[in-house]
Amino acid sequence: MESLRAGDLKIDIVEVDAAVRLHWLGMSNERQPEKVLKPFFATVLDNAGSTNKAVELHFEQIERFNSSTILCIIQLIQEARHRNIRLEVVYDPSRKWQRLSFDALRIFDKADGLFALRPMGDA
Amino acid sequence: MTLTVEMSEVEALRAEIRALKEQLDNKTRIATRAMATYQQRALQMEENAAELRAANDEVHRINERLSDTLRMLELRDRTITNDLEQAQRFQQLILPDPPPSERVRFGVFYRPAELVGGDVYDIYERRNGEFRVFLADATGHGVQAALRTMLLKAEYDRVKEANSPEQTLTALNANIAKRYPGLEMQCSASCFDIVPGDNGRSRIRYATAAHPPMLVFKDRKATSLYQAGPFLGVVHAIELEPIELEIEAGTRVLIYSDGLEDQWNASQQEFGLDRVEAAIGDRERDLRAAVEHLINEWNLFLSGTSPDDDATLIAAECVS
Repeated sequence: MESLRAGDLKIDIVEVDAAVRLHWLGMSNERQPEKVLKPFFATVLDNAGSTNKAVELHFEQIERFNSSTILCIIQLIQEARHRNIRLEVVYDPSRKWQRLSFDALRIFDKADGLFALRPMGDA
Repeated sequence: MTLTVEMSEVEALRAEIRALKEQLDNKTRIATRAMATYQQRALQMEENAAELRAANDEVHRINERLSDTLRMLELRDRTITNDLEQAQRFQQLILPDPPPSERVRFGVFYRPAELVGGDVYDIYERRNGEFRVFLADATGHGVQAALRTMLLKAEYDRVKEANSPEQTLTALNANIAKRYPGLEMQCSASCFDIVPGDNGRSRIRYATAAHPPMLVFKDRKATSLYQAGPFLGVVHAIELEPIELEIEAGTRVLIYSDGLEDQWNASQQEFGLDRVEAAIGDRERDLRAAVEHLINEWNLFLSGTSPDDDATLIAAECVS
């Protein structure tokens, strides 16, 4: 799988034994980020599904993303759950905008264990 | 002797004549060749001129077609702009002016990133002097987001008389999750009640769903009331914890959409909350003037560059 480069955003992919890790870098500030993110996420989920791996989204290093990006992330979470693929989000709670955005995703944290929110630094 | 000389002169003259004739023949040949070449070139030039005239005609025809296309695009652009301006008027109609009240003052700052935007708000007088304030930020930008705000406002109007802000938001969530699946109706929202009391103090009850925190200005510095909450429209049932507080007369509270602070100018500077705090916390200006000042700061900050996101702020202040 290839990394994504779109405008000011870069998403590096690192595959480890049990997971496909997506490291978000730069800024996701496109007005319609879904145009590039949706097909990219579809490939990521196809890959994770076929190799029986989890997907990890790492936001520790991203500078910022806009509110349209969070919708794409919500759709990714819903699609991953639909496909029974475990998805974990790692974020930096010391940054206000990240805490605000990701606290709103706790609603997906259910007993089925298919979604987890992990503040940076937590094991 | 005389004859011999004459003969040789004749011979010389003949030789000279032959030489002149040869020269004349040569020049005639050269002239003939040159004439032939010139004629050939003249023909070629005529052909080229004809081709140029044909090419020129073609360029003219293409120019006419381009002009037609340009006129058509301008017409379509005017039609789209007219439609957007009409949509803008519709959207402005669903956004109320701050209501006049002797007990509560309001200030509103609303700036869509385009002609229409994805923010929607309402200020509703529930009972005499008691208000419910609502602000939502629909996903997306432009026309699609504006259409979502129309639906959101209609759905909000169905539930705005619920007993509390948190009940209003949970009912709104249930309605949009149930009625509009697949329309990406997710949004963040805030809602608060402001109830002026007889003792000069007022009660605030505030609920939020993935929205930036409420700011409370007792003096110049703002206190942030943060409460984690989910986006609306993602799942059918949510629970929201309200925040309740009592404020003195003169205390200002405000809710805002993230586009207010998360706005970047051409120099890659963020508008941020410091400017908001400085403007709204300024006690030398009444609330409406403070909001006007903030709008001026905003325009100055952007200096003609387009905003990245829709920005809305609603500030309220109880008077004694």
